[in-house]
Amino acid sequence: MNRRVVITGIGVRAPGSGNTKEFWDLLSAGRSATRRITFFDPAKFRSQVAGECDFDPELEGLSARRIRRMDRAAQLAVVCAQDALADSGLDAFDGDPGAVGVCIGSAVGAATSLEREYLVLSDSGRRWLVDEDHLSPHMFDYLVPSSMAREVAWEVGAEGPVTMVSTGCTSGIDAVGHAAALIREGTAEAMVAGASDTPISPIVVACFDAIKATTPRIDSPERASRPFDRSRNGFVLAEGAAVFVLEELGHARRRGAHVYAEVAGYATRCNAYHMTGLRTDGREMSIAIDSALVEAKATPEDIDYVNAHGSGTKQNDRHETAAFKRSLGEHAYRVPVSSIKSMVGHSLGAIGSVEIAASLLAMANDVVPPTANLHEADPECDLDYVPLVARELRVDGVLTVGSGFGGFQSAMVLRSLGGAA
Amino acid sequence: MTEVTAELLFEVIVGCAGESEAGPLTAGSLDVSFDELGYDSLALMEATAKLRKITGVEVEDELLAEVDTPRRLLALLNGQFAQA
Amino acid sequence: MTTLVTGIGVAAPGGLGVGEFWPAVLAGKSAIAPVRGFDGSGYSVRLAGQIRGFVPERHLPNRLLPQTDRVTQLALTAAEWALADADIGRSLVTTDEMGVVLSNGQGGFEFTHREFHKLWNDGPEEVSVYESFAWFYAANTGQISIRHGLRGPCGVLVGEQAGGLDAIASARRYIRRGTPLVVSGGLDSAFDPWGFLSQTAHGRVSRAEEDWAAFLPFDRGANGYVPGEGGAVLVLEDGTSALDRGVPVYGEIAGYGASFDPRPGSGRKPALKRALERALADAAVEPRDVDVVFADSAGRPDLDRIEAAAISDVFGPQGVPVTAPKAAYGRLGAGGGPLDVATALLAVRESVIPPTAHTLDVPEEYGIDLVTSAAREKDLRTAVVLARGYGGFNSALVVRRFGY
Repeated sequence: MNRRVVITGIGVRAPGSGNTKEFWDLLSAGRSATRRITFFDPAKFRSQVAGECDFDPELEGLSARRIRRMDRAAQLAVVCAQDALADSGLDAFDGDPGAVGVCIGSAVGAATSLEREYLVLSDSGRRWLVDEDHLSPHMFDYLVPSSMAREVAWEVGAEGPVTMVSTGCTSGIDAVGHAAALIREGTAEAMVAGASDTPISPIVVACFDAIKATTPRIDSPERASRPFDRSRNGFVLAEGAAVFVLEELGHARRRGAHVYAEVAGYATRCNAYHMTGLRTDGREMSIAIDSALVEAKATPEDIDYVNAHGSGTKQNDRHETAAFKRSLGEHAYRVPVSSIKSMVGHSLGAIGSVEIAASLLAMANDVVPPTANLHEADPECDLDYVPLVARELRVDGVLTVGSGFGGFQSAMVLRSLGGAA
Repeated sequence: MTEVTAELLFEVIVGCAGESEAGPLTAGSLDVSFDELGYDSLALMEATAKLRKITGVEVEDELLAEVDTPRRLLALLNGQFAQA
Repeated sequence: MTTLVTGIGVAAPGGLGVGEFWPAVLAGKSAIAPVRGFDGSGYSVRLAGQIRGFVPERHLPNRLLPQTDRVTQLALTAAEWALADADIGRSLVTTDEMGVVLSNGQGGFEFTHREFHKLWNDGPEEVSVYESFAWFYAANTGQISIRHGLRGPCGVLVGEQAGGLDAIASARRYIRRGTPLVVSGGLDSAFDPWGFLSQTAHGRVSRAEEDWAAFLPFDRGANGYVPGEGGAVLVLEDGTSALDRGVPVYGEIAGYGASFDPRPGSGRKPALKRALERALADAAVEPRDVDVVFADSAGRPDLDRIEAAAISDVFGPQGVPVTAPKAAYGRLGAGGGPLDVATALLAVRESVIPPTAHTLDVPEEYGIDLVTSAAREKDLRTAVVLARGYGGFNSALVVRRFGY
């Protein structure tokens, strides 16, 4: 049984983007939406710039009760799921809800709600022995973030396999990869899958400050995220979410759904090297890329666009460049490579899905989004990173990759159904 | 600015990042590489952050990345570091 | 391709290591006690299933301690035991090809509580560099991969109590697609004051004061569960690989199924039965072939009734022995399912069903044959493990004696 998995619906919320169209407008214009943090006063922090979403759950139509219950990351995931379902036209109750599943990725889960509740329970940090009188009935949902997958499953009406993936910064690719595997093996006919993270909270900003992974650049916030640029000095923390409808190809065709692309190949590897450090040779990311290409039965030449992890840390961008050369050979120098983190920042576990959304839209529009803020490339990063301006180009095959703390390296190959790839 | 002694440095490193994989830290450890002692860049980052609180000594990230032994880290902390 | 279990590492309230845990579970020895580690006398929930006597310095290099939460220390220790048990040094494949897929639902919570405390009392500069990964749900998978040089496929699944079975199923999926060996399982631990209190927030936890009265799965007097910590790490191995190197085999992971409960008020039926049926179909076994069921055992009448109905619907009234060893030590979140799988494998190997401690009075209408009071000897070949995660997650796993 050779079951193929396709994507038939997209929902996305990202900095500067209240919906899929605004997201694509932002990317194709090469506009950056990072800004000085407004969610709290960042004056005491090393890094003060972030990609924040102008997201109002009430305006999005969520009931007061659901808003109270759900962490912000769950709220983003649910509205993205609504958009993806509307886009794809899938209704779980048209067929067997038991054949529909959900898989949502997130690196830090309900971090925002955890911090809010902590301040209440601990009297602004004064009490180690937190106060039961102020315990929220929803606190368990914030402790164990699979509550986010539950909220999406309720929205969808899914009664098949429902789970959450939390592999740090590769969660967004891994959640979609996991969902595709469930469809391919026949466990589900359709999966609503994607990822969400809302880490713009003092504890998360502080922990990346400590490790100096985020940029300390505070002047001109929209220019803070500079993947592959010589002057890059860290990533810009962001929030965001993207959720998709994945279906078995025959299932999608029978209901006449529009198909964005096929999830043709996916792989993930541990580098077993260091919780935060990367080997300069990019070996494990390269093995993940190779495995994804093999699963897709694709050659490097079938890849028309590489959507890079491109976080903008010194070590990542070199590591990744090395991995592309290792896996794609000479083709690495010819294929356009870009990082949308230059525009929407790094939303940790969500970004892998946000980048899948960008990849699907690049295929739909035959336009490669640029790497904004790339004025002078690092001499050790010597590929074509599509600086500043989007490029019109036939895009039938995309490679998107992710890399994260814990040593996780993930790669996915997406391919248009009519394409040559 | 307080002078950072080897004893203080060792105490802070062990406190932040655990005991060395090469046994107790002594004067003999000063020229052993951090790699061999089992301390990575995070351990040094944590230790220098702690030392900054104790002594007020600030260390530049770029220079810290070049330091490979306790003796060189001491030199850096005490303002006597010459770039290799 | 057959997925076999060739190594087990247990870190549970009942015992550290299989050698301590198994006799305690067989005896139904209670590991439930007043919560320790802080003064919990002011909280309305008093009891917990905590691991006693775990001294991380005895098991792990000192260098790993400042950068890991207790749950990661437990996970690293259990993983080391499991890998030693499986004798992977004798493996024909290198660690480069071996994977890690674990479940964790609560992160490194005690660690992060300390960092929250530092941040809000002393400022951002006091936050540890290790907070950036000691907190997150992926810490255990990453640290185990690094410590043992495992560079194969990796994963982290969260599904509260169901997540541990999902992780084992994901590991099995990788093995079926060609990875020779995957370290799997799950653990949770959050027993700082904030973590403990958070575990009680949904109101499903017992407020009893005595261990024998607190967690009574399927009992008429069921009044909630006791939260616990720990779990199990298993070494899953492709059948050919395991047989080639001639290591002892605990048993086979033969089938798996998952489902999700419809939202409350939808009028639709709970989906646990469906997960169970899927697991049996996946394993190609008939209900009559199943010799014992390790129940999820929520310990609340409404939830126990749903589970009892699913079991008696599928196996017939009193159709199969059912047990809940966790009654002795609590519900372990991500660790619960894998620990039940480990227990089921040991039970099948020894042909004995551990008892459900404390439970005595099972309502007739539940229609289940619960093993209470004492272990029951029975020839066991096939066991089913059920797990439900808070929010509606249902998973079922079939384990089988190898060669059957």
